[in-house]
Amino acid sequence: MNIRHIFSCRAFANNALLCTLILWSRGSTGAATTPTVAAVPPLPRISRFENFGEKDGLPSHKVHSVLKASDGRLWLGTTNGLCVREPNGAFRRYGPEDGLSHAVVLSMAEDTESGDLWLATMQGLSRFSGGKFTTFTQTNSGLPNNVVYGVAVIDGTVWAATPAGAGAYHIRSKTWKIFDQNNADMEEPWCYAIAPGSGVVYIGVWAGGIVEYDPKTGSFKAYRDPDGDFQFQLTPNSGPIADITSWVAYQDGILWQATYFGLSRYDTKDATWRTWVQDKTPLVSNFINTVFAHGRVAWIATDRGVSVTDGINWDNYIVGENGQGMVRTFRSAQDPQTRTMSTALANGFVLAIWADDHEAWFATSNGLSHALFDGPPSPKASASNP
Amino acid sequence: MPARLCGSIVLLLIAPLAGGAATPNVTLGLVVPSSEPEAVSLLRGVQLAVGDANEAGKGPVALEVQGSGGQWGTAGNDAVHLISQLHADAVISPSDGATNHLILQVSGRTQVPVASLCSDSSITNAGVIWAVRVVPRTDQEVETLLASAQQPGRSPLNWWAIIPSGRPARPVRRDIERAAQHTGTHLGKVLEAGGREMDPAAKARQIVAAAPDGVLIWLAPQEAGKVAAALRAAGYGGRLAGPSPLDSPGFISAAGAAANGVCIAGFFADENARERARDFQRRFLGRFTEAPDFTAAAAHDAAVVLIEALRHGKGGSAGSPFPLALPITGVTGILHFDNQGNRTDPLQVMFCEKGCFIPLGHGGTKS
Repeated sequence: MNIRHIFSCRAFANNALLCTLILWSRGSTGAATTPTVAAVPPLPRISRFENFGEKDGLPSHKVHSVLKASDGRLWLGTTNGLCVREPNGAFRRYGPEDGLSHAVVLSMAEDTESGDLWLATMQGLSRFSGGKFTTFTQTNSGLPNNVVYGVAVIDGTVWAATPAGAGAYHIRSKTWKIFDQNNADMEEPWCYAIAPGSGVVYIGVWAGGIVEYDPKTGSFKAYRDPDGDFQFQLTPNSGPIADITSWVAYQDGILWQATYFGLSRYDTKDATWRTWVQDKTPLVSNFINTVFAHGRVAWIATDRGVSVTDGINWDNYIVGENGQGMVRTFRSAQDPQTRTMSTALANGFVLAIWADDHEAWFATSNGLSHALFDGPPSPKASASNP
Repeated sequence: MPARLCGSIVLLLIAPLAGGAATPNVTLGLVVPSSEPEAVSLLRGVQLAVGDANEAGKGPVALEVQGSGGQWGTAGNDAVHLISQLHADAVISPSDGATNHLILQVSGRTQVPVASLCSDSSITNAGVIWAVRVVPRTDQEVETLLASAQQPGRSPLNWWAIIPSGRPARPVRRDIERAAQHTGTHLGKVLEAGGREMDPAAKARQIVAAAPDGVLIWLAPQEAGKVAAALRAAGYGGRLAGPSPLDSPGFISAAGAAANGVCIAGFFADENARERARDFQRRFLGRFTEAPDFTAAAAHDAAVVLIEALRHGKGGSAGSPFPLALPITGVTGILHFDNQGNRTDPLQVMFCEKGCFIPLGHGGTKS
């Protein structure tokens, strides 16, 4: 029997979203028979965590970044080098002695055309290609600064977020462009994150909100906190929650902004903003290290655990006082529910996340966590992440 | 980097662990600015605190220093080097706002605590939860000064301000404008001075012609001293006020007699705190043969805060918020912080008399 998954979502007056999964069963002739309808959770449900630390072969307890490449291999950026998980489950480390520009790997991106891996480190940008590293620094290339906080590969160009601007390296022509306060809509050149949009590039700027760059026109558009106050949200749902942007992510027309004061979501289709802060909304903490977008779901890495949301429904995964895993679920028109899990995140301080329809990986300050989902897959993504 | 400063760094690197080869259980990193007067004060203040900590015998403390400064990322490189190569557990950052933001960016990704000497409100407003500021915020200082000068029931005073030129002007201007708005003060012109724009005599003529009730001279101590001297020489008789780092020999020397009556807003100090400050002055003078300035005292306290916090935080979970709850005894007072990392200690207006800044109502003659 072949199964097709069709999702229908309907927004109600109270903004609740009902998702139903229609399972069309087909006979051997391929003709559709009677559909059956089953409720599908709006968010992926984590059934348990598997945790990995130094005792399991990780080169460091602190993992800054995590990426599952298109070939299925899992890559980790740690404070002690780059790490790949071999098919047998063992972790293999690459360090500066192998050619990596610096031991601390903050962010990673895959060039899906070549399979090359681009690595943002605290002392340069590295390319890992065919088992060899090539290093780009501010002295041997057009990289604006050696401290590279974020990297993305977008249409044949590698973008690097540095404190002296965003560097754009065109892979084929091997040429660099630098975007900073002199030629872009930035008050300061302090770039902190990069994300591909739909035909545009989003640059997360420290003290500059989000800058959108359109490579076709060469034009910039800045999204700034409308109240201009870093600390207080005086005008909610009207723009970025703060101008200190710690991370940006984009998929399916939705731009997510992580800040140290909460979360923002920009729907590019209708140009509307939503913002969330802890205590007043389900967001588990205002201090957000990074956000990862998969489909219309955001995975939010904070200092107090993980929030998962589609903008309406929320699941918060936290570590209890006794180290137990807990999930707090928020659904529209329902009281929040808290459930103790059999396993917990390796640490509540989560630095980065990678997720797809079947699993999620969490880089934490004290180990790596792997989450397996139960139930049917979550709504499928339509685009890839960097 | 000036030759004199390099010498200071070498001495400093040797001094903290002299007499013992024990592995440090706390290593402080210091990013020094390119301007020499502030850099020397910073180094000496931290050096004294590190020396005290080592003498106290609670565990060795080491100090590592990097210094290039600047907006274009070099301070970030310095912070990375301190943290990843020299294994600093925490970083002390100087007064420059751009340098602080670059260090905070590194801290945001590495979770290394920062104690800042920058008064721009944007520093703690950046939201890095393991960063603290040991000096007063500019907007707090200005509010205190403006409110103190304004007499109840009278029409708002008209103040002008002189601020640095270029990039540093932005946060200072914002903070001064915010403070003026909060106190209902009329803020007239805000002039940029410093670097190429620095022409004290021309600024003084402009101000004398407009005759505002007061002038906020929000510049580094020596530049502020030159402006104060030029204003008084041009016949300006209104109020003069500035930031707490004016409590320095550099300002007194540059301003000359014009220093008298200049007001700053400093942390309130009771008799115990004043005695600690006097003891700090004696020891600083004995060691360096020069009197300390406000920057040296604040740098000392930044080091004390980080040493205490790291010792209390050792063994805690990685990334846990900076342990701000404990009050810490420093030479600028007892240090308390709010959850944004700002000091909550009250400010008081102090004025300069015969080369010393004296709290209003504490033996001074100004009323």
